[in-house]
Amino acid sequence: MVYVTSWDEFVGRSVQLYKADPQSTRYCMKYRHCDGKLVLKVTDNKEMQRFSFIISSDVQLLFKSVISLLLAFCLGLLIWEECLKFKTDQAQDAKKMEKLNNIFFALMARGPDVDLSEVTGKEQMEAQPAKKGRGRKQHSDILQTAGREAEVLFSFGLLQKFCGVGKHDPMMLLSLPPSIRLHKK
Amino acid sequence: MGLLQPDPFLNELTSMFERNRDKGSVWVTVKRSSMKSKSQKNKMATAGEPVEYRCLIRATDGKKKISTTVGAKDHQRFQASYATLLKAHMAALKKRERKDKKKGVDGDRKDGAGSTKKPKRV
Repeated sequence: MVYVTSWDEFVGRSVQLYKADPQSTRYCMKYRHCDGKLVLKVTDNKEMQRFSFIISSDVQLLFKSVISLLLAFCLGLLIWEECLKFKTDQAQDAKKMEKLNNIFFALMARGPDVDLSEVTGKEQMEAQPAKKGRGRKQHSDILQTAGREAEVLFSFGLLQKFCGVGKHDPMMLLSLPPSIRLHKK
Repeated sequence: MGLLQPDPFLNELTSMFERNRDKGSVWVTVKRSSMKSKSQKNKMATAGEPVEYRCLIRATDGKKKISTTVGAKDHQRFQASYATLLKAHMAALKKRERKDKKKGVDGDRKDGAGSTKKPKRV
């Protein structure tokens, strides 16, 4: 059992694990309100044979154990152990888990060949208007601190109009320190 | 109890979360299933019929077990209600403190930068 620390890695590996064996892979969630803990587990129930050296005086037993060890070793190479776990106590991870829930519901209900970009694409579409909103919020903050001219810096069309910087590379201007940009007005 | 329709399942899951607020855990497992036994599946495979798969969702609190299945058509509606349910009940998780601290620092920085800009403009 492996506790994965990175969320993106957990998502990537669990989707991969599911696509490798959609029939036996399951996605489990355990929530404890009293401890404020959330644990996610994705497993396909396949285990790598564990081997341990058996010290035995009985030769036959030793022989058998060697054979089983070899078999276990060979099988171990073919059957990969996979149990991915992720634990957290952060509220932000609950939001990420919702996205993973959506992914798994789509994969399991429709099939492993579902186009995941549909699921994530929807989320991106939902996120985009939210991002624009954030941008506007930043706008208003900057207006308060740096004045009207600052608005120009964030909309290319206005930039070109004001300073006639259509010929200049806009990205270059953005890289200049703010004081110089303001001076150009 | 046991196998329920999606809506009663969600109601039961809500009460399960509420019952286990002060003590205990709630386990939810999601898995793909055709809901048929192996022999039935083999028969269908040999007959050439497509095996229809559904999403099996199981929940337990250690004492009571409930489950439901969701098909491809209704899984989006179910996942929306399920997400709302989880959001409402997973309130014990910690809010991100670092971000608040960061916001405070960024806010100070912005004010500081703004105040230094003004004299230059004049």
